[in-house]
Amino acid sequence: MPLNAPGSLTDKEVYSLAAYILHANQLIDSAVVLNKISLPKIAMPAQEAFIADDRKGGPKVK
Amino acid sequence: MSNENENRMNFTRRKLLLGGAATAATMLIRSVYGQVIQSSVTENELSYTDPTKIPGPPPGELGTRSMFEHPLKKPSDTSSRTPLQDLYGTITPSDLHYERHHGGVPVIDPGKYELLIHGMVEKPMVFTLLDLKRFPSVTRTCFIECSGNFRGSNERATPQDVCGLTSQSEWTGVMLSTLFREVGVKPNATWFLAEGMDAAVMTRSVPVRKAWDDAMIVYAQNGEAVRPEQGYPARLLLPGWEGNANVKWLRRIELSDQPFMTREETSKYTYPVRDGKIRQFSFEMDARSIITYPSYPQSIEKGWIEIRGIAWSGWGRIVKVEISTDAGKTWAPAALQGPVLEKAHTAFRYLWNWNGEATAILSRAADETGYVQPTLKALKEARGSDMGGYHLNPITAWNIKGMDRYCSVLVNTVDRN
Repeated sequence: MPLNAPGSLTDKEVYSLAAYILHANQLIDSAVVLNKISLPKIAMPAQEAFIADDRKGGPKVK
Repeated sequence: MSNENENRMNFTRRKLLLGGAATAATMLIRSVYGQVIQSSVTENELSYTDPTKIPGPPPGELGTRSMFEHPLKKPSDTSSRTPLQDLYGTITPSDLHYERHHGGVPVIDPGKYELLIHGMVEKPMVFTLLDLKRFPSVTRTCFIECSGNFRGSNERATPQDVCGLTSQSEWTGVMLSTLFREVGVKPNATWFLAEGMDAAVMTRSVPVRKAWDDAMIVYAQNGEAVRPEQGYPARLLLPGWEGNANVKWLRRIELSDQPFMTREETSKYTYPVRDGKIRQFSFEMDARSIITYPSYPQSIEKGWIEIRGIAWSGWGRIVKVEISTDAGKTWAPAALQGPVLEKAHTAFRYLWNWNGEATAILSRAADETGYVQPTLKALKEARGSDMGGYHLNPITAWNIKGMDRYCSVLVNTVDRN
């Protein structure tokens, strides 16, 4: 990140940008500070919806 | 007047009739199969002279394609598609292999290349390219297909447009299981992360069982070093599994007891199925087929036509391809060109005596698990209407519209039974 200058952001900038995007999507409060301890604790909303692939070949279309 | 002069005069006259176009003109030619097809011709071809009267060039260092052949990939901002309609047999010429990458094609010095394998292993190790080549080498032929390989609802789509994100090569490299034994993968390791060294630093989690089955790290493609666009100097090869997980420009493998939940296996490469659920880690490519001849925008003539195409399945061998020439009412088996390899493009052909009336031609593949290629409608019924764009393999129909002696062929991928 960004696409035209890959890997050029500092760790702090990446945490700040992640915080901005998560806040813009109403996932965290504006006061939350993200770092290596707080970021992994955030539960993304799609997490509960994920299911493992149940296709196994055979006649049934899945 | 000599024959040569007569030929020259004919070409000159034709050139004048074509308005003296400097490059491409269009003319009708009779193919070796006796079919009249439209073809573009260049200035050089118009001034073609008798090859028995002029010595050709001497032997060279590098072969080239005939000046009369112009197969091209079709690039967009994100991918480049293989011209399936221009190919014969099942091997994709390396320079026509489809491309899909997320940060461009990196330049990697093979002398500086290193692959690290670490994490839940007895002995973390770094392998140079020479190290990889010292291990027993294995060669196999299989397809790689992007799991986003479907474009429908466009009457002017060619086979390249509909599903040009599949290509086949003969790959050579080392079995991943060989390297995993070398580093001593711990018994409780169930997943590994594969990481590329491109500007996207592509990362995917792969079940360890695939390594014990048939995964490879390959450094050669169709008899030469892997092309930069396909992962030079070494890539992961997961036969039959979605292209994205076959990480190119591979630099690191980390063993773990759980998946890593990277962007490309959460936000991307997942798709909604019924009841608000999202299918994740969907690896195998289901059976599919496409008729590559005749197809849009080709024209055909009444009479005998050999319908041709390819079929493939990520689950194993193709056992049957059926053809319908009456818009899906009846089906008959096509001949498969052997040897039929597992997880590989398989060529099929079917002789058809066309009566000149409008119809639609379709193909459907079946693999050794008993799976039969579905219609788009059947996929929607199974997954719900909001099913995204991954892992779609519907039956494709080509509409043939009667039009005097010549007939235009148009794609139509709407549901058929």
